[in-house]
Amino acid sequence: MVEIEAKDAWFSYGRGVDALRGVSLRIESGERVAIMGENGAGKTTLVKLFNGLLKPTRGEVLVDNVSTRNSSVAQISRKVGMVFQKPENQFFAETVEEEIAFGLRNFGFKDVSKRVDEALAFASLEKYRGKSPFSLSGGEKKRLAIASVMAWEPEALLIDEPTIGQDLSQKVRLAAFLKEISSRGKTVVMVTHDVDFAAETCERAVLLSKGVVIGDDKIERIFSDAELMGRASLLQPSMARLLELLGVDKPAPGLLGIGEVEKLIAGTAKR
Amino acid sequence: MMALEGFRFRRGESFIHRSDPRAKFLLSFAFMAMAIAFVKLKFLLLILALQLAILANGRCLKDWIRSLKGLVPLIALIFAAQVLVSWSWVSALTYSVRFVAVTSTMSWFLLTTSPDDLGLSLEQVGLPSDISFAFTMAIRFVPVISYEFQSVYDAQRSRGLELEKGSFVQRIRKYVPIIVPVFIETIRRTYEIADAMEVRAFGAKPKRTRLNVLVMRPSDWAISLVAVLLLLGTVFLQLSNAKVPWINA
Repeated sequence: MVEIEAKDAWFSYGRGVDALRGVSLRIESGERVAIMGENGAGKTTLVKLFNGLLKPTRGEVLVDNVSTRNSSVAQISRKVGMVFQKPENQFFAETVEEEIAFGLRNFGFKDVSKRVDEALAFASLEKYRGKSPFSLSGGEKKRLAIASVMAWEPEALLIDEPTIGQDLSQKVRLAAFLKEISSRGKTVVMVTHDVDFAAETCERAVLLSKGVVIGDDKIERIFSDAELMGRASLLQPSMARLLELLGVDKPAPGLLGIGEVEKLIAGTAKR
Repeated sequence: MMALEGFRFRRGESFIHRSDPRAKFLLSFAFMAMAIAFVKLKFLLLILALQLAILANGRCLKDWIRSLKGLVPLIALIFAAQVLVSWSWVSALTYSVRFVAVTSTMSWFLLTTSPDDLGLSLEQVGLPSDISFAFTMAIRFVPVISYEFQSVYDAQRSRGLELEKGSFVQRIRKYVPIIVPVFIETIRRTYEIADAMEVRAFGAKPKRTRLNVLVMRPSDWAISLVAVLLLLGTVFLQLSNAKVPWINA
């Protein structure tokens, strides 16, 4: 169980530009949150604050009520793991299993071999155990990057742009994989531009624009607000746009799933 | 990677930014030759002060200071080694200042010269375009590789890698998980860029045309003249063994 909270967090990379300007939000244990917005809105900066890789220039970020300023990246990563946009950024080992073992050894786990086996099974990568991480496909690389973090079972997982470079079948598999992680009680926070993927996998959306939170609510409420989505340079998901065309304007939980939309259309047709 | 901050181009409109790269290179080379040839603390401080004035003109002092902070471990190493060898604080300080003066010659030059202008000037002094292009690309990719290094470092820190812990040898070994991905990504990018250039007909014609041509202005000639005089003076003093107070006496 881990809680992450930003309290009036500001961050500047120098040169007079604030990447984040007074962000305040709280992520409860077990939530699935999508952080969205246009390029340069501060999404990646925000998750790097959650992980302690960056420290706020003003305000504070708390992980389990402890300021990230008072903890090392390794201490925070033990609870809040992070998967980067480009999996290649972290691969260096000769084999897939060595790649998974890297973090476990850094954290001093004794049962490395057992955890590697579990992570390989969890990510369905057993058959690639002895292969080079660089020989895997895009989707497999992404799953390996996630598995290499999940191996030490952090309470929360931050994922930067999980669907970049993934084809449809890989996205479907990734969505199922993330839901499985969530079903184990883990918090999942993803940075993404992919509204359909976010609709499929998350229950809450936080919209950022120019370093400020402009929307933070249940995902169906955020995604049904075309004006708000426009301000974050995002298009509504296909299902929400379809419903708008059909004249259905009252969003409800689960509205963005195909099954729910099917029922709604059937109901509209009967009327 | 902070050390590289003082060696990447910063756009600007200052006098030094607008000066011809060839003239700037001559002056930078003259400063470097003097800093290497003469080991007098006062003279080295003078060379450094002149370069700081150039950096101030280009509004790049902050970048130079940031770079200097990154070089502190190396400067400390030079200082400590010199103290051990000569048992002289003045000598240690002189060699440390000399190191800063020499690195600064390339710092202000690269901070105020765009890679495009640099490539153009190399071509205009007669270097084959393939070689000048390769040189320009190498400089252009310093910040890209620096960014890549930071990304990989962040990714590994997120997996519990702590570079600041352990013995000296352990710390060196901890760089392997950072250097390997950066190296692989750099090679991969090299192939991609080569392909991207080839599909845009790079090398199809032996002689390429140019969009811009560099023209020396009177102020550029003046800078070049000063640089040549400084270089000739350095060579003369080195060959004649003449002693001049403040410089080598």
